[in-house]
Amino acid sequence: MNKNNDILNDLFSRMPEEELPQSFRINVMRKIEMETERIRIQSERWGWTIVIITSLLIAALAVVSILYIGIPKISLPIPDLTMLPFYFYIGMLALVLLGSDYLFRKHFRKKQFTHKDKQQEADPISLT
Amino acid sequence: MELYTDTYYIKRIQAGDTACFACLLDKYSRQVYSLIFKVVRNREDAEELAQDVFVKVYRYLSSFKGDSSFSTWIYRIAYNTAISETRKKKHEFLAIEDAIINNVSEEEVAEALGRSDTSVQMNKLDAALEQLPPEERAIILLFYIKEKTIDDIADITGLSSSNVKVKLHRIRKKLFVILKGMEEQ
Repeated sequence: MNKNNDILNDLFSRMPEEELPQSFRINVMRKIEMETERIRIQSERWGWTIVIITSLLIAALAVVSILYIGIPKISLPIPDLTMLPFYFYIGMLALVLLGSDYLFRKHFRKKQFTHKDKQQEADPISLT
Repeated sequence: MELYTDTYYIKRIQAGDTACFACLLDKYSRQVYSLIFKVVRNREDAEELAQDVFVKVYRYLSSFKGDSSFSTWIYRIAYNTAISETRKKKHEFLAIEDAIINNVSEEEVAEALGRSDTSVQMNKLDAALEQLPPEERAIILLFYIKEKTIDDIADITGLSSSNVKVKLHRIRKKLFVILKGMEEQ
């Protein structure tokens, strides 16, 4: 289609282009940022979904292979449960000792700092 | 002179540099807004739709394979968005019989329009465009204002090149009939 000597071509070429609304650029870029965030969250969710599904599949496969198919052939030794109260007692004792050590250390440090502060108030030059 | 090509910006955006989208936005926003406004004929709708077009461009940027130019791809999204919107609102448009369409010559219209000044001619053309259905309005605007080729318009509208040619011929004739009718009034 030849545009030369076309009256419509002449008319349309003189037609002014519409002015953009002032806030157009800002509004679009805001929407783009929101879209970026939406895509990021979506891909993050997809990532987590894939990780969870894969983990569950691996766990299910492991259970099936060990319990039902018997691959690999392993026998789990069952520990002697009669010694369990003794191990529990030792564990609790270690925990109590660890806790009291932590509290004593905390109390000691607090006391040391308070003593230093009092000394600084009494004689500020000697400490510097 | 253009500093960087569209492909450069597209690659940067796909690499995560979202701010680069502003460069494409600056280059195409006015053209897209102008086309949509002339199709939907409402400023608020045009602004909203043009924003939607750019969000779609950003969202589907990875699907742009470079088979056509980037501007043709953007115009395709803009055309589909604008036409979908106009289809939601029922409008009645002028129906002109084939006999009348074939009876008007370009020379008659040129002669009649030549008698009025530029601003009057522009107003008449704008009024004539308003009487065309949105699809036809978009095709004629893409051809004359956006200076797209027949093949580009076919790519944008999803029509065949021969169909676009026929449609353009008919739309031009329709415009001549409307413009001549206005001159006679």
